[in-house]
Amino acid sequence: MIHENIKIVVLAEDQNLVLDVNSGSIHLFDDISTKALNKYLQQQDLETEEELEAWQEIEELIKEGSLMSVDNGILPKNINHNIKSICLNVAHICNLACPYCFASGGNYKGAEALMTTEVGKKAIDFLFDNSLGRSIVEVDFFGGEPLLNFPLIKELVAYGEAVSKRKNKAIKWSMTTNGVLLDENISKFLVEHNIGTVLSIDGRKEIHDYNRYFKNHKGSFDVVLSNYLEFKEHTQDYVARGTYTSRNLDFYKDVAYLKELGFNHLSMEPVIGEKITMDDLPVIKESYQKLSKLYLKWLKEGEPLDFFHFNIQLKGGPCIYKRITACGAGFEYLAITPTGDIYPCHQLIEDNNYLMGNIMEDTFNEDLAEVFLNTNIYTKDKCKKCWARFYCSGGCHSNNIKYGNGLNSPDELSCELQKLRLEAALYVQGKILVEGLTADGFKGSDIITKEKINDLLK
Amino acid sequence: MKQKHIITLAKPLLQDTKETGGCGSCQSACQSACKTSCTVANQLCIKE
Repeated sequence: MIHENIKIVVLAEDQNLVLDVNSGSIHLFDDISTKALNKYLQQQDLETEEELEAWQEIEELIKEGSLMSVDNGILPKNINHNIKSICLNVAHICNLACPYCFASGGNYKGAEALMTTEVGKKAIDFLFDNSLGRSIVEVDFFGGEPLLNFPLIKELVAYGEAVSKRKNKAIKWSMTTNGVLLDENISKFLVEHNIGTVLSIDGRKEIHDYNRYFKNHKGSFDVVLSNYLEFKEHTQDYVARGTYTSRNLDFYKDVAYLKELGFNHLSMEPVIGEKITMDDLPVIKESYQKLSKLYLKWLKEGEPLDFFHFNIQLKGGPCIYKRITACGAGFEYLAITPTGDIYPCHQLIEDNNYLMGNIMEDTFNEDLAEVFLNTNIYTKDKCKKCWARFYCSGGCHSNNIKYGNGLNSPDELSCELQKLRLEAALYVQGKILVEGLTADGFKGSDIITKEKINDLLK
Repeated sequence: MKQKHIITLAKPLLQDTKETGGCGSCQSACQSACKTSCTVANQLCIKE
């Protein structure tokens, strides 16, 4: 049963997790209450005494606002729209030649270029000057391959830290790298300056090397693995970022392989716009299911994996504002190219329709920022009918522009992939809640077993 | 009323955060682990 305000995930025999979409409430239903709920949603009559009994309980939840709750569809007003985050494309050049790269090999179909000190510092000033009301600002070093401009990164970190002190505003750093140049010296710098680092590695060697190769077509796996293993000896502030394509729809094997290599912080993202199609969804669903079982197994064994895409918090998590307004591209979050051009995000750099201004020319298109600010789940008809709306916020703007029908028309394949991933995340987090699992494995006193549930219900 | 068929596991009351949320101090989605999909619900609330 698909309903825009209710999501049911089967956890076990006679255990169904019921998510009330608008309130975020989570309930554990048995088969009888699930049947009664489904009949209600399908406008069918309840038949048995037990169903009527369960319905009374459902009515209680509806009354208290934790089931079939309502969202007034109005964007909150008490929010700060100022810039908080920039993606600094310090190098529009790359030392790899990955065919699936959304940046067209690193130069975004433009000239190869390295950002200068002048542009970089002006971008940081722009961030601090336009982040009124923010206590924290964020800078991400991106490319191409950002480490091809490592001297600038060093310079900008020193500069940013000085401005941060002067303006009494915290600055958080991050970087995404392909790992080729990640030597001891650079690693030391990243760790010393708390630069959260995303390490691109796709999984098994043959999967990685198929797409992530040097310009001479030699795979990069051996080089980057050795660098990553050394790097992660010194920090936990990293995420090994895998990618799946039509070639590794069995990506759970890649996650398992990376975990076996000792990577405990992982993410795994699909390449949209590649060869993955709607026909692949059953296989992808199976992979997420297998991954969720592995995830729970590792947790029970006391060897948990921090898998980014399963990190959703059923008991809290981000406020509704965050869940409505998507990634903040175009107003909170901006990407800046080596020449100082400003775009709503790093993925839209190739599209001149989305050029918002230039740092060096002090230009910024407020009207375009307004367009992004006014794009949210309430402006996307498809999202209003989707249970996942408060988890993906209508998806990636860039994917919607490139592969959907525009900012307000989410790309169908992206939606389906998100929902599969979220269903797996709900399953995992639901099991954790029900079984009382923690990162240390089972916590005896907290376990809610079927027997314990029966006791509770006596 | 004693619940026999349903156990409530979590009641975050998301709608209430329209009044209490929006501080914007949390990490931007695209500064985290992906850069290719919108992962708003995977972010942490800095107040928690």
